Amino acid sequence: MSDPQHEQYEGLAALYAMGALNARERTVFESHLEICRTCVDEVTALLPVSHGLAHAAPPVEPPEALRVRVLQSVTGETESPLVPDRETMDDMLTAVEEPEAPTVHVEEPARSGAGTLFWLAATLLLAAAGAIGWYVAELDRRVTDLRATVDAANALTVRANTSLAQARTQANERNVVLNILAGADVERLELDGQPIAPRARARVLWDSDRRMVFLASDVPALAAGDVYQLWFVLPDGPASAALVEPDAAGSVTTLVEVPDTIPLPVTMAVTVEPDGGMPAPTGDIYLLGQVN
Amino acid sequence: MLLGALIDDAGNGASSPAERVRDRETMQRVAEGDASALAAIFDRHARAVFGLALRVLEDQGDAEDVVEAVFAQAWSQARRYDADRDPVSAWLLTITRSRAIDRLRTRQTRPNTAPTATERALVELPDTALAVDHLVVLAESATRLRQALTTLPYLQRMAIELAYCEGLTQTEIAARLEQPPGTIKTRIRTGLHRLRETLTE
Repeated sequence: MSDPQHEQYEGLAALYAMGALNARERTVFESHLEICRTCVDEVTALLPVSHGLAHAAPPVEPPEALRVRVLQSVTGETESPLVPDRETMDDMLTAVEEPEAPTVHVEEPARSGAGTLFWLAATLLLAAAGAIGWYVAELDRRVTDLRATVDAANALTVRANTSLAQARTQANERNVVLNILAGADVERLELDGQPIAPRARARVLWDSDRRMVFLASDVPALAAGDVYQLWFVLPDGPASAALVEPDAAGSVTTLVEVPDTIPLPVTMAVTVEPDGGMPAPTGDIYLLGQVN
Repeated sequence: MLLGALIDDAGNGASSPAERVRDRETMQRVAEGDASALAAIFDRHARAVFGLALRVLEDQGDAEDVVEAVFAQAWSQARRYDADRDPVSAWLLTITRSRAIDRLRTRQTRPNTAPTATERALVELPDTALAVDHLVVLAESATRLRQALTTLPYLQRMAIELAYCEGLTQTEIAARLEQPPGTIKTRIRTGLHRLRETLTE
């Protein structure tokens, strides 16, 4: 699948692979990536080069004193009960400072240049196959998800006229989402995962027509009977914005209607509520994005 | 096929599974608080970490501080290391780049360019999710890549190095090199494709 608007994204794959897009450009490009096989292929081809630059820096032997400093600092400041006992640590540090002393290293350090390089070569060889495969699979999954959405919409159109409107709505919604994301006047608010869902992350984007998209990832699955509810948090109290339903992977993409009474930007939050939602929040806050 | 070719190239890497298993086991011991395991990890990877830190910072003292911070993080976050996703070296070098760039920005005392927590989260998103390919980590490829970088035209090389070593965006690179952003986009693209060709030759 290729985006008919691909030309305007020409060249961005390389910048994306280099991490040289700013946050907003990245958001826009990632939405394009989901529907453009050409760009997916280019990113996939260039990422190894970009990441490989880490290894293109010539290795340099660090001073021996640095090794001592590193080991002293980490072992000195931990309070973990799993820290090696004092005797072991002393042995180790003694070994570091006096090369002739017996060492407690279980393994042979690969110190020689050739050895290290060979090790790098050897170790990462296997990683490459699985890792590239993983990344391609991940992109494929995202593309497949989108395809499935469209296919599902198409299937519905065949089934019944009543479903036709629904299918069109789905397709339209997707177009609206893409238009908002790609618009020149898009503004956004980031929502951070709260302690109950530290990995969760979300972003609200809206354009000058007050069309709003809520995107989230790594949202934890909920127990049956619970639902996530998105809120506009106003000075006089929260107002419900939408009920949001993560997919199996914990991702959400949904359009949000913004009543004229809501000033933008506005602080937003996601809480967990009983099925059907609540008029005011009652559950834990999972995501929060505050307007300063 | 790039991957296939490189795997064939490195047909002598018969010991690689053992090496990787060894690294993974060592990281497990680090996670359990075994300081001697951290020493082993240091001995295997410190050269690459120090080399990258020096390349970004071009200052011995700063680079040493970064190395210390990287291994302190490896020690404290070893439980979070996912061996199925990243080889240890990639994990360490991702941390190194991030730390070194932070340090660079602090040093440049340009508070307006310091990333916000959100920006950092976004920056780290692709890094943690994608720092998983390692074709060029083959020693021979790394050497070739290093040499190829030096043969790129000035603007291509500078644009790529500023993006990688300083974490600058297209717009920031354009300002630094006094070029239109479109030119930077083209140079980075051309340069990356050339480097890729070098690796697949």
